[in-house]
Amino acid sequence: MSEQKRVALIAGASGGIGGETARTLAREGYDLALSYRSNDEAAAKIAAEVEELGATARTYKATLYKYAEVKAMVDHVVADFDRIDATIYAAGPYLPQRWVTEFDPAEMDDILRDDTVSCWNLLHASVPALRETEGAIVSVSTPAVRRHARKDLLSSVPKAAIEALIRAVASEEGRFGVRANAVAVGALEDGMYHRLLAEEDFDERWIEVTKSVVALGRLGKATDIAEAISFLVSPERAGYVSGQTLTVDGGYAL
Amino acid sequence: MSNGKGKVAIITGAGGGAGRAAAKVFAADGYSVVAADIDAEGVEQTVGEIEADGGVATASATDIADRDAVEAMVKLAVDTYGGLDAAVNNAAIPQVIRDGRPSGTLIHEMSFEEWDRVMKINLYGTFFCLQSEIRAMREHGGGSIVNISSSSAVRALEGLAAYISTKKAIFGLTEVASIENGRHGIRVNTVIPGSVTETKMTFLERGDPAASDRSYAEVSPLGRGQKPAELAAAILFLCSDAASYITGTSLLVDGGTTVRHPSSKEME
Repeated sequence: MSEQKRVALIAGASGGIGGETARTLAREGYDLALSYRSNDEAAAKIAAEVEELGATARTYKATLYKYAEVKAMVDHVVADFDRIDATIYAAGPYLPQRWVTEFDPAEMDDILRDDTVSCWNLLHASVPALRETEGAIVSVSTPAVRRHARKDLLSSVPKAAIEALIRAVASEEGRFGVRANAVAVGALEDGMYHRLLAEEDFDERWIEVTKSVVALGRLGKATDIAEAISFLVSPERAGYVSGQTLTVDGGYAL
Repeated sequence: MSNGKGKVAIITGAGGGAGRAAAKVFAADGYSVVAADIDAEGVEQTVGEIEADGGVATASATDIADRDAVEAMVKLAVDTYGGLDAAVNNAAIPQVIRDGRPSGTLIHEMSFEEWDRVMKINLYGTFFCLQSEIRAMREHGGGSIVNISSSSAVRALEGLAAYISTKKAIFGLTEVASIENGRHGIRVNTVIPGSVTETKMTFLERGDPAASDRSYAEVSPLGRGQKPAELAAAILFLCSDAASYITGTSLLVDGGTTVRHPSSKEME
């Protein structure tokens, strides 16, 4: 290996978890390819912040459910940085909280496309580059895959498929040294939380009830997730962890 | 690394193998370490190796099945270093040693003594450790505990009913301890190792004694066995402040071996 810095491709870099992950990995010496869908301003801000932390950063605007765009982006990243050591899927649409019966049936197509298909495209396009570096994949997931949280099916259904995808990649790509894991994100007071409050999908009662069932008695932060992702992508710290979902939820799932 | 600076850790089963590796990794991270094991010579060697590397450690010759001895082990940590921040409950025995190697017995042929000895050490011993550690941590502002299970607890292996029962019980102990103590600043998690190379324990594979010679290198998707330090790195992470929102969960460190059906390897 050359003395080149490691490179992480983060999808959803303009969001709460993606942005915090970018900052955490920048502090650990990674250069960063920051993928985002629409928020130019937020992506540029994260890029500026991680450059302050000593990283080389570039932003890539892409709609992840369109494979051609993802493939072009990954090719572009490899051309720009010469390598990808970690691919992190922290993208995904806003997730309004509704009862099963409140959805228009066609909305399931949208959510599977926006989340599961997007993650699939990103992983599929990244794997050849990750083989070169014996790199790692981490996807964001949810504890709701195992225990349903009311009105949260837009989160749990696509993430269940993503976890199966992670296990498939771990099983089949391990022989090339590629690892794949997920982080199940509990209730955070960062990122999408603010919009969930603004849209009144979350309210005071939700916050109180949630805190009461979390073993640690508090909500989590984006930094908690970023630290777990940083651990899982590290070959030094998690070189034998693959195919797993690490739950970071303060004990919410119990 | 120096995240453990000023912190105190107990590692049980630190007389060799994965426990020794964990003790050394914690000491290198700055922790003052109480290395405990029923094997007094083994922990003396562990402490010697840590001190030779410039670390701080004390040996505790402890049989975890002895409740008073466990209490004394925790008291040693608190008296020597002023508190307890991390505990790794790693000590355990294989179900039975036969012809010098870890082995097992089918349920209908197992003696009560074989069953009972594994229960007393692996299950009761871990429970005693948790009791004493939690009391000390509640008095000293919280801490983090990692209980060690086994990948044999996530898939069945013939002959190991006693051993696997104790290792499945670890999940229950972890989960209950985490909800009882979360609001007291104590986090409790399980780490599930695959087979650690260079350690004493390997297991029967589908009841075939010859198969226990088959290394993890052959069955792991990553195509190699696990190094003790890789297990230690995962334990260290869960004890660190970086994992301060992780409790009541488990992390498998087995190279992806158990998420893949065993037949997959045969057909590659």
